[in-house]
Amino acid sequence: MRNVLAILIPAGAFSRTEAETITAGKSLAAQLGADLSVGILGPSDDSFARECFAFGAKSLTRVEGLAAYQSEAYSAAAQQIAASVAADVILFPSTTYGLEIAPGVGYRLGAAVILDCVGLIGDSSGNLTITKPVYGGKANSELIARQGPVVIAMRMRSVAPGEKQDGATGEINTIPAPALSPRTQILEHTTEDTGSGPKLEDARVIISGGRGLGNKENFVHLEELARLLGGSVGASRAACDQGWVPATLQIGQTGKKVAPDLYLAVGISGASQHLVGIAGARHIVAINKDAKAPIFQVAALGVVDEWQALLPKLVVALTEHKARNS
Amino acid sequence: MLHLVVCLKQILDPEIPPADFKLDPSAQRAAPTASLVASIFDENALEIALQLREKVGDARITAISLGPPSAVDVLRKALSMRADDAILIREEDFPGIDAHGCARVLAAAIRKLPPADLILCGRETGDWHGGLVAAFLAAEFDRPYTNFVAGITKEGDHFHLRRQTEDGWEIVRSAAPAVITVTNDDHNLPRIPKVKDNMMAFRKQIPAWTASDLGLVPASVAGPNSKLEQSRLYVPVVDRKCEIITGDNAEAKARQLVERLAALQVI
Amino acid sequence: MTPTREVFFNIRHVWVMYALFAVTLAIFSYGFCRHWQRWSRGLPASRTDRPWQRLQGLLRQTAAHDRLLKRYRAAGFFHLLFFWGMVILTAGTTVVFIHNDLGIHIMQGAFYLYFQSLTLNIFGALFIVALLAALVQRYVARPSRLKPDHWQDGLILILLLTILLTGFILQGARIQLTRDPWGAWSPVGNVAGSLLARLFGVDGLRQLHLFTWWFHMALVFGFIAWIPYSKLMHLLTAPANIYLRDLEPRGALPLLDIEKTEALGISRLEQFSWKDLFDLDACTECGRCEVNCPANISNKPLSPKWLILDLQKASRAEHAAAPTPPPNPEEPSPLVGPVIREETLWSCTTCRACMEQCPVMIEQVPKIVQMRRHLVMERAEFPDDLQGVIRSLEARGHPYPGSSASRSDWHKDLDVHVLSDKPGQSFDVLLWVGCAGAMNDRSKSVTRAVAQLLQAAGVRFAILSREEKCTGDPARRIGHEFLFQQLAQENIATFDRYGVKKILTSCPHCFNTLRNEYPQLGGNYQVIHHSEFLQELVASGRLRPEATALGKVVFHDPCYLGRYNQVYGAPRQLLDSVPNSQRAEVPNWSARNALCCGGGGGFSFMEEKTGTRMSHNRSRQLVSTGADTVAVGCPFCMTMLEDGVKTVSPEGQTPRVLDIAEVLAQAIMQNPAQEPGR
Ligand SMILES: Cc1cc2nc3c(=O)[nH]c(=O)nc-3n(C[C@H](O)[C@H](O)[C@H](O)COP(=O)(O)OP(=O)(O)OC[C@H]3O[C@@H](n4cnc5c(N)ncnc54)[C@H](O)[C@@H]3O)c2cc1C
Ligand code: SF4
Ligand code: SF4
Repeated sequence: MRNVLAILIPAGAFSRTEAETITAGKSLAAQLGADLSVGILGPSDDSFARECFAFGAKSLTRVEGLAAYQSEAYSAAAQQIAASVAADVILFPSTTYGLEIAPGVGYRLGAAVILDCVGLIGDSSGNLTITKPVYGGKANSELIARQGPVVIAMRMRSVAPGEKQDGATGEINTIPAPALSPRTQILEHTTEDTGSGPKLEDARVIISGGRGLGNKENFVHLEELARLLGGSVGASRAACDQGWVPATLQIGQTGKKVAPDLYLAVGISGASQHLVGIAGARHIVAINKDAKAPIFQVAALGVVDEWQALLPKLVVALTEHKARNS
Repeated sequence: MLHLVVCLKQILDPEIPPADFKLDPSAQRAAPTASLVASIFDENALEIALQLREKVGDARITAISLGPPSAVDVLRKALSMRADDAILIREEDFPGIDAHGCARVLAAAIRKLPPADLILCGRETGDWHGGLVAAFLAAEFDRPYTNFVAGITKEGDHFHLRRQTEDGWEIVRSAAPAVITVTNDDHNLPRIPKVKDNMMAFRKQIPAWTASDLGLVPASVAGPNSKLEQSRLYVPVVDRKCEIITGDNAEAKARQLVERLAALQVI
Repeated sequence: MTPTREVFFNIRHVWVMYALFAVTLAIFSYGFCRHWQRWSRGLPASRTDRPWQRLQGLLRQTAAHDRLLKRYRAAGFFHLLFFWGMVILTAGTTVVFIHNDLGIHIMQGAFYLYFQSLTLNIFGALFIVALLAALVQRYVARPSRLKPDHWQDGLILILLLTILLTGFILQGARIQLTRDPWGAWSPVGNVAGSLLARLFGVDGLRQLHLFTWWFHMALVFGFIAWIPYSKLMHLLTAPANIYLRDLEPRGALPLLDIEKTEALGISRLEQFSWKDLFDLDACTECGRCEVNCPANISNKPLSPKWLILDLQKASRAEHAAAPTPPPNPEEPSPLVGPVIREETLWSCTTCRACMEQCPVMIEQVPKIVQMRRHLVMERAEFPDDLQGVIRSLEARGHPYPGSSASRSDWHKDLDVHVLSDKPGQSFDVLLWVGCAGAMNDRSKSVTRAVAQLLQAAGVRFAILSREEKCTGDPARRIGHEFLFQQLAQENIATFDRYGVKKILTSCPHCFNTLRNEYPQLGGNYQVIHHSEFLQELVASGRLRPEATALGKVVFHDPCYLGRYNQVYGAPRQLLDSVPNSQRAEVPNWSARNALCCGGGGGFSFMEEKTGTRMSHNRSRQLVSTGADTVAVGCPFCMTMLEDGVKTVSPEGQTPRVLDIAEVLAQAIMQNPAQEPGR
């Protein structure tokens, strides 16, 4: 028998990230014939707990007196929760904090640790089959974990949040925060100004630019489109490395994983490391002057042209379309 | 004097053309159909170590790579960027090594060096994307660990780490000694070495440490990840047909595109 | 009586003249030695071998003004008069010296009549014509290449004119006063004499003669003494510079021994060779280099003329300030930055137009590249765009950062002999595809056309496919000599492994580097551009072009095929071999005078940040011929001009841009798989 624990590190209210982690844990627990416990690191309220139960948590552990994120305190708390529920499969969210503490927790529990997974299946004999993209998304590795504890972080947006059962409840436990003197401290937190649009992870529309944009100034064209469509601007690593846009807008393997309805890629070649970030997008549309660019292999719609020629016309056509439909 | 240790891995060029990407017939890894390069985030890590040295003045940088003999190229690159020392650890001595093993071997090597004030690794390698070794190293040494750092300053006896989060940046104050992973931003693009430094790097002898140099018994370094069995490695098939919008000019294409987007109900 | 004349007629105290001449020589020598001292600060260079070949070239450029007349008919003609006037008059003076001072009496008899009188008279008169033309050119026509005016320019012309006019006055007066029986042999002087006699009478004439004689002498001596201190210096340095010209293959940049060289590239004057320094003083400031310079035409901060003149100024100033070379090489570069700006160095396409135009064979390109070497290798400073290029060349052996193309893409469905697959199988020629030819979509179809033509002609060729690496041309032109040598050595090792002897390529940059630069590193192969190779196949009947809808076609000469390797005929013959084709040329801007498309020297990988677009300027010229097809022979030209003609052509009249191989493939395989271009 395996005990499955999903660790949550809330950044405010219950969000899609938490829903994904619980959903992944819930379906795994079901396959293993076990129940899902949830551990919450950091402050959370009752409505947060209700959401956890609604998405399928059977029991829930909170940590008394655990303030804002500090890696060592959170790691120790996660370990205590794991011990208290005797968890041997522990799921972490693939957030900065989740990825920071998951490996250390696994190390101290003597667990195998696998981050950035996109598939997780269990069977009744307790074996886990884990799918992890490797080589920048060019290949998938399928790993089998037979016995022993396992720590797993699922890639963001690789799990669709499951059905909610409002009103579901479960047991709530509270443990005290572990006492220790932390060696790191977060001095300040600045949010990068990403324009007026929604967070990339939550955006319904993303207009993304790459090296083909040529310079920083040209991103205003994408911002204009994003404003028109109520979306946000993203970028490839090449554009971020040039300093044209902040690194926080990077989408891909080592950037944001996004799942918009419309992903418009402008001047992006579609390197595999970029494509893994948009695997969850419903419709990918590419504008690229190179007809052979790999982005067209994943796009539903493509325009082979220079963006300089196309975008101004696109803005006009969209404005007209909006005027007609309002 | 600060001692900075940067761990670098040599990997198959991650930007290999998709057409050239093939799996080894044994399907346990990719076939060597492209050149070998330093994993990009490791170079970012070296770059911020160099920047830190420029800021504090008195610092020494040691580059370490656990890899096959060809990995000396990565170390030479590090030397040409002006790391002070480079050490190769023979990977052949540790067949089938896992992430825990890597951390233990690297830790053993680092223990042989003058005490390290900061150990820097890339946030993940460009081939297996494990993202574990640095955190395991921190656990081995019991040192504070911070991930996704893009810049460092030294403030008194602490490091101030500029770390990337989902929505922006944090300044993390970390006690020394510390372990960090490094992510890319526009300030830590690896520098292009001067040719003189290139030549100097070519002439330098790079020691290759063996398992016995480190006093390790290869079988003893493996950790829980070695118990995982890779049952399959495969290239996922994408089978999507892209509809290319045609038109006589940009305007026609734009109109056509808007129509198709409207049909998809995304605008 | 033997025809001759008295040398010092009407003159007393001749010793004064000798004394003045001694002073003149002393002033001249001092000035000249200072120059000499400055040149000898440069590093050694061997430029005095093969004297016979050097002399021949010198004669062709001076006696016949070969280069100048190729592009500047009128100006060249007048300058030729100028030149010959100067030569003949100097010869005449020398004759007087031999006759009078050495006592070898040659100035008499028929020689006196035909040469010393008649010939000198004619050339003197023509000289005056040339001077007047020069004045008109400079002060009436005012071409921009001569801007800005310098006070010396006009003064020199007036001075020479005065010397000539006073010469004729002297001659005329002497003929009149001595009732010279052979006066008619000096027609211009004779006429001048009789006019003056009527104006001044005999006594007046005698006074005039005496005064003019000393005035004339003073001017001539002043002129001579002034030479080393003025623009006149080029009277000496220009021909010397032609003699000292580079006789090595034009396409080969100087090899740098990276192991042994302390400072890589050039950042200080004394790191130039003495010949480079000599170049600086040979410049006549004619501005012809500038006229054909694509960078200058497109308003980039580069003029090859000012590059030379700025270096000249710096060289003279540095020498004046410190006659012994400043020793400390650790000091920041006094040259790159303060004298020659970085943007200037990064504006050059290395098209060689300047060197081709320069009548005195000054070598701008090696200077530019050697200063780039300093920027790239010593300072690791270069335009942002080049960072990615260098990284990509280092890690992936091609200059296209971010490219997801494989070198094997283009031949996937063609049955070609890949050496690594069948290393044992013999082949006659290696088809070198090049990075663009393998990875750039448009160029891939050119490569396919070449391969298909070779197959049609039954040529046994092989390719390296994924084993090819960049030849190193872009690295070398941007100044990364180290990277160039690395890449070249890897390729040479590959060639040697497969026993490659003969290489065929459709990229002139690869062609030039493989042919002219690989021998510097021990790689000796027979290298052929596809225009020549295909032309031979057509000439020998192995390929038979048939009529195709080519229309009017204009060929754009690639710099590295034409100017660097003097292949002008083959591509044109190839186009002419297609029945019904009608060929146009861009008047004045074709073959060696062709304007660069703007794609060389690293520009295929950099954005043009200032000025107009070089490719548009060239495209305008090509489009103005009314051609239906622009034929090219280089992948970079293809990219540049395809973009260019689209932009500058009137709506609906855009010519298509085709490689000569694609033209031929259309004419041979009447039904090409896909129609490229348009
Ligand atoms: C370990 C690792 C992790 C990585 N993580 C990420 C990641 O998270 N996210 C990411 O994006 N990348 C990532 N990369 C980098 C990735 O491999 C590519 O280098 C990068 O995505 C390329 O960005 P790009 O498509 O903008 O640039 P390029 O590949 O250079 O493509 C530019 C495109 O623009 C087109 N173009 C140019 N001009 C025009 C024009 N005028 N009009 C229209 N089109 C034009 C070109 O045809 C070309 O297709 C990672 C790499 C490694 C090794
Ligand atoms: S090589 Fe060409 S671009 Fe460079 S200076 Fe000479 S003419 Fe101008
Ligand atoms: S470099 Fe040559 S072409 Fe240019 S101005 Fe001087 S002499 Fe004339």
